[in-house]
Amino acid sequence: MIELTLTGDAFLRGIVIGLIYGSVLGAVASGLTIIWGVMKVVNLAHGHILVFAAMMSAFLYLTYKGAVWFTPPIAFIWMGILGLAFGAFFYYVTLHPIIGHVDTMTLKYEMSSLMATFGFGIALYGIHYFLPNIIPSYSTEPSIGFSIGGQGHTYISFLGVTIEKSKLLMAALSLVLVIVAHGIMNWTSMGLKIRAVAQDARALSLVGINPVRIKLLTTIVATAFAMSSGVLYLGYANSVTPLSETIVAPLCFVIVVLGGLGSVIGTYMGGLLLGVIYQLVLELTAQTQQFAFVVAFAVLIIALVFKPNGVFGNIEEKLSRLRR
Amino acid sequence: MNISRLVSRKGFIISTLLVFFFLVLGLLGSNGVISRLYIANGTDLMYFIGIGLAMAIIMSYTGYVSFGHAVFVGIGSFSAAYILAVFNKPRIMEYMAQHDRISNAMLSTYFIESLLLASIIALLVAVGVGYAVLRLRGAFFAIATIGLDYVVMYLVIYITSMISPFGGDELPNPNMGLTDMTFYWMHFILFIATIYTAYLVKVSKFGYGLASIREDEDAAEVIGVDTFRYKVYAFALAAVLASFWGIASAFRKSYTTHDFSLLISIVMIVENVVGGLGTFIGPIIGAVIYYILNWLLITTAGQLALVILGAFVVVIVAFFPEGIVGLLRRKIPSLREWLE
Amino acid sequence: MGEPILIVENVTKRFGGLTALSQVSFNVNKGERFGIIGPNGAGKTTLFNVINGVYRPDTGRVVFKGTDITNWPPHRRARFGMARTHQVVKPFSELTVLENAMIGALFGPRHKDITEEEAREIALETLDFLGLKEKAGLPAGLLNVQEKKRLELARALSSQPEILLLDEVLAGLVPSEIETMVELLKKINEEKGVTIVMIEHVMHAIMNLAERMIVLDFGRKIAEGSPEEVANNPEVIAAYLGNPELALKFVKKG
Repeated sequence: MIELTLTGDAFLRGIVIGLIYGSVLGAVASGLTIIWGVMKVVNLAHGHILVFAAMMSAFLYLTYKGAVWFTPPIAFIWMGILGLAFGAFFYYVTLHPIIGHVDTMTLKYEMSSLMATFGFGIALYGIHYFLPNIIPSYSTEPSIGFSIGGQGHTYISFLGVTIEKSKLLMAALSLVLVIVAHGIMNWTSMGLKIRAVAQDARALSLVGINPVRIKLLTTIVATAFAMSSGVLYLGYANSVTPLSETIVAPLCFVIVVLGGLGSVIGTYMGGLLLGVIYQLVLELTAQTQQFAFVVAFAVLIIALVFKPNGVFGNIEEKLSRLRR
Repeated sequence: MNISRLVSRKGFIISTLLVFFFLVLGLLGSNGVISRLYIANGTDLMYFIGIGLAMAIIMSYTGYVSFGHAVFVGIGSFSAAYILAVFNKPRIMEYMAQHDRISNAMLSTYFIESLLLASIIALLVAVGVGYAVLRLRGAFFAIATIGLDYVVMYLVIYITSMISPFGGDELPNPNMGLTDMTFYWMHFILFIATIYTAYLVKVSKFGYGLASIREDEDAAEVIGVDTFRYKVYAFALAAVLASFWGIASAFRKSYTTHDFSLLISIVMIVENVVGGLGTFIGPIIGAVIYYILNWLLITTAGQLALVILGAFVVVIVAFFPEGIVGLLRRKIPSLREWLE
Repeated sequence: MGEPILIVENVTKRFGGLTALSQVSFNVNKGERFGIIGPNGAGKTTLFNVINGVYRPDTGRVVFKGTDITNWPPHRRARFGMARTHQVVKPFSELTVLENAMIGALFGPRHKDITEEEAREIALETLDFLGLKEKAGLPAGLLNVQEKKRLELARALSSQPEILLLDEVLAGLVPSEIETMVELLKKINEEKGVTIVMIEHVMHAIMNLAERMIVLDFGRKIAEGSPEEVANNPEVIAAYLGNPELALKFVKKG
């Protein structure tokens, strides 16, 4: 049946690499938790958007080989800024016609916005197969060889496990991204308004806050984080294809459900947890990535059925209670 | 049910007209009166309508969007491939060594065996998955079904490979000497089954129950509809019907269509969305529109096809949320009855 | 009168830290017109949701026609003879008025053996009774608020229930419409023998209609009795911050 390699070494590798990978996953899912958890829009284009950012980033990296601007550690910053603009585009084209009003989110609006983002995602997915027609050098399966440290020095020992420096860097930058996201959502007035509109759009319109503008802002912020983290994902995986979406998107949904919709910190922790589960399965069973993915997805189903509010519940609430 | 009531409704007339249309098309084609191109197109059209109607039972009638529904089409293809390339391989090889076409008796047997196997697997998967996932409402259900395609197919292949090794996806002699007319009639049989089943569901008490779930699940539950059970039944039926079309496709194309499953899920959804939820004819019209769109896109835009399709979905959902049929029903009330 | 048709016993319902219902107990007799009143947020709809099966209580029982139905799902209760309307109407908008009513008949207590023909007949009769017959072919979504309320009632009635739970069925109606509805409800109760339990805010109507009532405040039952008794209860008055004489005036008006 399935062979198990239960050595201490495998466990350690699984956990450490799992945390590294999980950190990146946590960042990648942050955009989704903002738009879904806070704005109640199930964004089926999330995976496609971040893959789009990764593909663009890869293309630029390969075209301008060696230019520092296009390496993941730098690119993730300007890609995030680009994401602000793209987020606005995404909002006006897909969401505004459906939820660009003051009413609360009913099931109908939920399903409609879900389907609209679905369509947008499909279109975005299709673009990659069309672009080679106008840009011959555009590859649909780019692979960048991003590494740090030069020949022979690309690895580092972290917590007893040998890992590439570049991957460690991506994990660290992911944490930075998540902290920034959390900061924006919880410590700025914009973040406060975003979360408030999610609760009761109508009430806020009565105190002079325009819910439609806030929805636009939420989408912009979420998209910026999605695209920025897409570059970090590329930096970690070193290759990407449009089909990567079929792996990454479901993982994001699992992570958001695990960590609690709307909570950036919770989602990050969900990412860590899933990363560890995923890597442990890989290390201990020596099965394929598909198998690990299946296990991860089974986790989603179980989590959805038993704890739809997230395994970690509402982290923010718990944290704020501790402070008192 | 009252027979005279059953056959007097517009949905029955539409179904019978369509069946008649494909019957005539098939007869003309087999006698060489019209070119074989029409036969190929007709087969495609039956397929598109068929998968649209299968999906309609869970999506258009019940209001639950199953994102990985193509997995059931995949199960059908897989079953057919298994019956042909594994289970009956020796017999086929032996027979093909001396004849250039398998016999009708063999064909019928393998067809039925495929239908049985596909139905069993589809049913087991649908009920198993449905039990867990149909407790979830709208959006959560959609998410749960997203990765399902991938996961279920993986499991089905993994499990069956442990029961009896299944090497490749290919059939020994592609087409086994069968012609496009044979495939046309195979599709036709399944078309009859699918369209009349969908119609019977729509006009039955079961259909009313599904409609109430779609319109307001809480109210439906309170009024006496066993919403959970009905949802599972609908999901299972939609799964089995979808698997039939996977069988049809596998016989015709001689390989499992698993690679295209992502696209098929999209097609099934587009057909239902474009047509409009809640009507019998909606998914049918949606299928025809998709069929035309598909043909146009392939001949002109090629690589832009997906982009345009995606944009199309966004436009329909954002500006015509009731679909084409829903829009027509609203604008032209006298057509309401026909477009039920 | 015999055994009460509905017994609610020590029902408590909590949502996280909030106690919506606390040790609520009362009986409803067969054929009675029973009222439930109380200030906003008192837990009246929550109580209905517990009786109807949408929620399960944390403690206590619900007994209907002598059977403990506390843990039954809503659809089972409907099939057992309990029908319910909602505060915010929930019509099946895309279906016709007739189909809405038919669904009530098809899935009610007679769900096992009723034919579509019979359901249609019952639905038409109920629609006629409620003055909606001419609109039978219209999609339910096109009706106005008052008509939708009557449709909700028609749908519930078509199942030929033994008990009817009405949640603010008079809300949003103008005085003439309220009068019509009150007469209709009396007719339903007297001619068809249906027990009625109603939540209401329109005071003169419920004081008129109900034979007995309870008052909820912050999830607790604070009074029980006839409309006069309840209107004169100091705790009730305090809950509403109302004028006791005014309440009595409404009762005399009926």
